[in-house]
Amino acid sequence: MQFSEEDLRSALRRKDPGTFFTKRVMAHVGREPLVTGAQRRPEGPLRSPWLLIREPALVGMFLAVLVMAGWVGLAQHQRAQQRRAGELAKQQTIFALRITAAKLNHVFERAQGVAHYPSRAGESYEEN
Amino acid sequence: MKRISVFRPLGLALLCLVPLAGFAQNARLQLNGLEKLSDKATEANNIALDGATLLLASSFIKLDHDPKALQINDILRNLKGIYVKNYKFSQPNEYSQSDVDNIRVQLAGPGWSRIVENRDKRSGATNEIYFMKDGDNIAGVAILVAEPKELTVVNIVGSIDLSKLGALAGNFGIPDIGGQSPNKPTADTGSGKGNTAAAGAVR
Amino acid sequence: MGLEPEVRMEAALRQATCGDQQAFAEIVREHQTMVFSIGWHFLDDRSLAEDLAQEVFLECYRGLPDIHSPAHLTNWLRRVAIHRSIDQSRRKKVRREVTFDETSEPAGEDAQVDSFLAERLRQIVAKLPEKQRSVVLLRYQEDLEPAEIAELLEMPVNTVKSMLQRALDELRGKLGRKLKEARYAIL
Repeated sequence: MQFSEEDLRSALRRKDPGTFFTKRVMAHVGREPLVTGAQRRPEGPLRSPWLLIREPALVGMFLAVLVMAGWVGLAQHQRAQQRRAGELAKQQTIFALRITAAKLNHVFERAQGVAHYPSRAGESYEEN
Repeated sequence: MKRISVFRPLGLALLCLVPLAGFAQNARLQLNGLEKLSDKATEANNIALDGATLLLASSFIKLDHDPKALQINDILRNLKGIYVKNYKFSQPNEYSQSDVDNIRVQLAGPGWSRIVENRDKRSGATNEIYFMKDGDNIAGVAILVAEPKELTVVNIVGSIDLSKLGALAGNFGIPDIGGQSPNKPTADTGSGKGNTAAAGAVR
Repeated sequence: MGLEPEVRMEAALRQATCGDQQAFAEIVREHQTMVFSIGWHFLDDRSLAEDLAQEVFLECYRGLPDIHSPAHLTNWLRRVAIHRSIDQSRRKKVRREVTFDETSEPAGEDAQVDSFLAERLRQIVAKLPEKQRSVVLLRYQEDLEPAEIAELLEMPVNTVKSMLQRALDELRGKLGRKLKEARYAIL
């Protein structure tokens, strides 16, 4: 069977995730540290690169702050990754137990010759 | 739906207290040969949880501070791995008998015993449960459900108390096993659609 | 409300960059359908698509100062959504996680042919190789020209065109097989 490009466009039409999605994103955004465009380019004497060159101690402090920020950022990133991995492991474990219980139930019912039971969601059939 | 109380005596028989590290390796089945079925399946679930992953899951379950969730940790305590292959197809006979026989050959190996077997001659479906035993203790479980349009293999390595799994029914989408759930849903929601009702309620 | 979307987005972008979260919420509302749909059609998993879309927007929020215009924003979101989808798809191959109650419902026996066809097409698209999938989504979901797709994915235009052709051939082949199976199942 053939399909047209219009069929494909129709099948891949965008779907709105809903207003709940927006609220969910904004809830996470609310927890983010505020780094605005203005903050990235601070006004005042620190804006001048010449100051750093004239003050070696400032250069050293600046580098130390960079390293610390990098380390903190990396640690945060690693913690976030670990959190994600842990949540995924938890969900998959529960899912595996769910399948195990469902299949055990299935086998026991078949073994006992149960008259009426579902084989999958929404579907049912009878067996003698 | 007719509830059959088969689980309690079986559950008692399956109470497993001592994990046996020496046998844990043999209880692991080789299921990689089934992965080719993913291409033909309309839905494929491949889960491989080794000991380290179960430990990680367990530590995150503790963070929930949910008594029901902690019961899951009880179940996981002596497990070395859970491996699941589940494939659903749009039409019958998309997998071959040799795919299933390759699993059965492993389950005919030393230590494994088949404790439940059911065959439907009309549809050709087979449903089996195997245990790997060491003396009176269980070191592994295998569940093999081969239906015309769905193939499932569950391999649990380590000792699992299935009565504790049954006690979780009605939570986390875990269905009732053989009518033993203390959280059995009402007759309306439970009859004929136990699995889906439980799964839906958890969400 | 009466402003052109481009003008509205320009204002929202400027305000959001200065820390106005309401303005960023407007950006999310404007683009969430696009980002979510890329994830959903790529991964065929609503839950994963929502998580992915959320991560894309969080990354966008963090990178706002580097986004210059509404057009840049749209392209940035598309590019990041596609790349994250590819990453997630690779992770999903190793451990595919599908919950029983998240799978799309199969079409009923009396479903309209067009929604049946649409569902099958979506399923097959979600199984294409990742690069082909990206190209198909950008062409048929986002209506981008091959040159625009080439720029977004940083590949030659001819490669985009040949990938599109291969993807369409593969879709036709697989759809033919799937429809035969479905007809068999229904009848």
